[in-house]
Amino acid sequence: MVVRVIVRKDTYRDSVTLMKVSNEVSILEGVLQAAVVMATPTNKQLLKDVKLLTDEAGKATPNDLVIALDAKNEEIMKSAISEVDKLLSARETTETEEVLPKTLDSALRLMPDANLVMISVPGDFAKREALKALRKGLNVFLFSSNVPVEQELELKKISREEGLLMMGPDCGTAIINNIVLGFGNIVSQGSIGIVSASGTGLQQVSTLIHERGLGMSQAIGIGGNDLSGTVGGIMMIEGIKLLEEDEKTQAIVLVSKPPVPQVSEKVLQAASRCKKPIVVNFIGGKVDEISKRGFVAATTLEDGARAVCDLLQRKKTRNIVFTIPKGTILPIVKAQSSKLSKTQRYVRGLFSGGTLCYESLVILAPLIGDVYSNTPLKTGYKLEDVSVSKNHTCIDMGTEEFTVGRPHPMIDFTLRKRRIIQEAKDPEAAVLLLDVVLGYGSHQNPVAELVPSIAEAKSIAEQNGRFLSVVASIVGTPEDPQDLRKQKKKLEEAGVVIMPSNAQATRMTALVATRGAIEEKLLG
Amino acid sequence: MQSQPKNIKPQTGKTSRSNNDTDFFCSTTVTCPLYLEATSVGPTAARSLNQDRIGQVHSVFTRVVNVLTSGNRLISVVGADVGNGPINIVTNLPQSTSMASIGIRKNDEVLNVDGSIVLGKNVIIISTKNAKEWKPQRIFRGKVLAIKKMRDNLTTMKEVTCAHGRFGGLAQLIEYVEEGRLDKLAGQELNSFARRALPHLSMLMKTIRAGDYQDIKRSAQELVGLGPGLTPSADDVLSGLMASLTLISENLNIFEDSVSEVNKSIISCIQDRTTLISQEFLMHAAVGEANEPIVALIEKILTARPNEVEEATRHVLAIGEASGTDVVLGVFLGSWLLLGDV
Amino acid sequence: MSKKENLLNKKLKVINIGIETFVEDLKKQGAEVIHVDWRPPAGGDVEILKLLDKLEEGVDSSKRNHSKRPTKKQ
Repeated sequence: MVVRVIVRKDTYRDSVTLMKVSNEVSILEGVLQAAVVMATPTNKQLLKDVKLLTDEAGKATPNDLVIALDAKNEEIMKSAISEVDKLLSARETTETEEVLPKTLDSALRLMPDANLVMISVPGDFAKREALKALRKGLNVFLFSSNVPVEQELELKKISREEGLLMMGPDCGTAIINNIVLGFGNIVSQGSIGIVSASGTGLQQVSTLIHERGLGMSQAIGIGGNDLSGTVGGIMMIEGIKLLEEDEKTQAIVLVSKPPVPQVSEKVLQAASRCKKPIVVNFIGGKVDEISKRGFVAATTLEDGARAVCDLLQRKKTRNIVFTIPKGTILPIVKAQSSKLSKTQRYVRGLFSGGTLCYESLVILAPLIGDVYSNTPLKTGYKLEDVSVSKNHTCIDMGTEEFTVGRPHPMIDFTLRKRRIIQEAKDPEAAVLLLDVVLGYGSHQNPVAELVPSIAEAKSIAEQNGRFLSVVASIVGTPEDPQDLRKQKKKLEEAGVVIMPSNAQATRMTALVATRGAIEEKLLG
Repeated sequence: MQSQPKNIKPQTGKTSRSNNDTDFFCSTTVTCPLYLEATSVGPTAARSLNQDRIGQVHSVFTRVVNVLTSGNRLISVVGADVGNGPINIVTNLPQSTSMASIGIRKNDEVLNVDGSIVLGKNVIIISTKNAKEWKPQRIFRGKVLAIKKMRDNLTTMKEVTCAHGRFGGLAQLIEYVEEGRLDKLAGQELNSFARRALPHLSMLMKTIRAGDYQDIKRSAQELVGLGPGLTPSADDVLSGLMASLTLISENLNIFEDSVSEVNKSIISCIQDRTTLISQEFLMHAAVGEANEPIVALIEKILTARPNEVEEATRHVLAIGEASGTDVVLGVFLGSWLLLGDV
Repeated sequence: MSKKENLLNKKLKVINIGIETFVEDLKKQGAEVIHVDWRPPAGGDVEILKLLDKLEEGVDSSKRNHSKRPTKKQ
């Protein structure tokens, strides 16, 4: 007679399962008694009365599950306990109608010559799946975010060793063999290669290259943390090597926020070993240090795009302020700013692309001063309350604080629309700066969402004797599903000033807000 | 890089797993949420939805996710098959989908974001904008029957239960209850729970008739938490008992004050003596609130024909594993207390 | 020739694990895609998952120790 009581703290199984456990264990050969109950005082008393209560079980509380067993001998007890464990750990089975493979292995049986695994499972499970793919000799596009950097390092070390691509974690965009992975725009094929730590950065650069009439060979996304101190730029360096080996690629542009010095150094060293021309586009980075090494440095995404195009076409590059003539810019500035009321003086940027927000912060600082943000350049400028703007403000609405309970702002415009109206009511808000990102994955018709709110916002301002200026840029190509031309037209009809790039839109915003005061500084 | 969208509202159509035109996936961060719509919300659940932080996930089952609220109460997100109840938020969860395999975990935060209930980090997002508030029926709609017919209905209910019930818990006793009396029992093969419960249940009935509130409490104390199940068997009997006492007394306008005192005595001892979810059911039953099928059954006993009572009984019997059967025993006992001696 | 090279300039044959909407977009662009009906292993129970990982690690490393390095997919 061996009595054992298993206590499972805070364990909830539905009654069907509990009954199943009770039944299946009771009928086991050699099991004399089995009770499966919650450890309420009355049940414990009952167990005590039938001599099935142990000390541990005695301490259990009503929300603990107790499995009390009385078996003939120790051996039978052991198998009974393992049976209980098995039954309690049993996974839920669901009924799916179609027969879809449920694992990588079964998928490989159906597609043995697969060459890429695209993974967008939750961060907790991402490493596991990615590792499986690498071990099977497959390249990986890892969309999942919230993967610890240590795991990222491990994955990238392995992928480097195996000669495989590990795009990500936290990689939302790539273009491989002219196919957009994740989010991205339809761009021409060509001979420019990109290695980018930023998704919208990749989108801005690639669409501008396309506009110029050139094209991409490959655009490799490496994820937002590749250039962190821990990961050390592994994939950027591998990406450079890969593009160097690729026949189709003739010029390369590297896109990222400025990495920490030791990583920057590693990357630049790798770049110097590369025989193909490279543009280093560290947004807001230190141009001199990079140029000294013999690279073309660009500090805005637009400059990066232009520089690599010029490089390819063997033209001398220079940085862009505006691609529209001064003679056209100034009247727009005048028209927008002359209607501003005395109280209006601040820029309010509402972004769906985090890198675009960052770029704007970088551009605005020397023009109008430091800007508040939820992702500020300077710590002192972090917004106390992200839902309320302060002075000049640019917010990245794709961060977690804005996306709980709703899709990302590239797809769901609800919060941005609300914020547009909110800013319109602020007597100090002068200009709104918006990014509109098209392409795969984005909202099917952004203007249908934005135009009504912009119209309402402008109307609110007007009713209060003000004028709300709205400046925007559209990241997209005419080939994108959203019909770029129509988007642009509708926005312009709503009175929005559309600029050819985020960088130019940012500068326009600064001009309007300062009523042209920085014209000299900007345009010379 | 936070610039890329990390969760997607799909724009594509149906798949084998899809729910209307949405897709779902599990997520601990912001990948693709399961979008559900709440169709109806019980009153207790509705009260808990007014704050920004609703609570955290307490337990996850196939068709039910229980949420422990900030006020230390439980509310349940359920599929339509589970039905309406005071603490239920009924959703359009697809029949073939199990809540347990979506990635929702115990202790996940549950928030109210702009009128949507968000479980975990965008794992499940439930829109409540079209949800109706479900109020348990207190005043029955049909015309109350003659006493004899009501008693006949009780007999029907008993017969159906004996034929179709599940007797893992106390409900075995229903076979031996004559007109609400548990006295005549000898030599039958009772399971350990029923055997243990019998004297106390018998005493409980006696003390309720006598109106001995202290003794009621003592008997109830021996019963609360007794038996198998996540809602222990005896608790389900007590729930059925209290719900039927309350609703019948209100609709027949008899013994309302006494019933109130009886119920108070019974639940005065439940704290820490049983599981959290069972406490919820008991507290609601004490004020005449219960899940829809149970209320419907009590209504039918008072107002409907035997075939409707049979159907209503079967609905209750289908609840849980043996829960439903235990509840019917409770309804049986409570009904006889009021309809037997009048 | 590295494996990465085998990806570039070849037809993309993708196994998609996770968000199903990616599948359509890929197909539209001419890639071959298989979608995996993924569920969190071990019912999402992180504790069991850790155990599973340890087990797999053990199997993995013993495989690597005892046999030739398995041929990778080309």
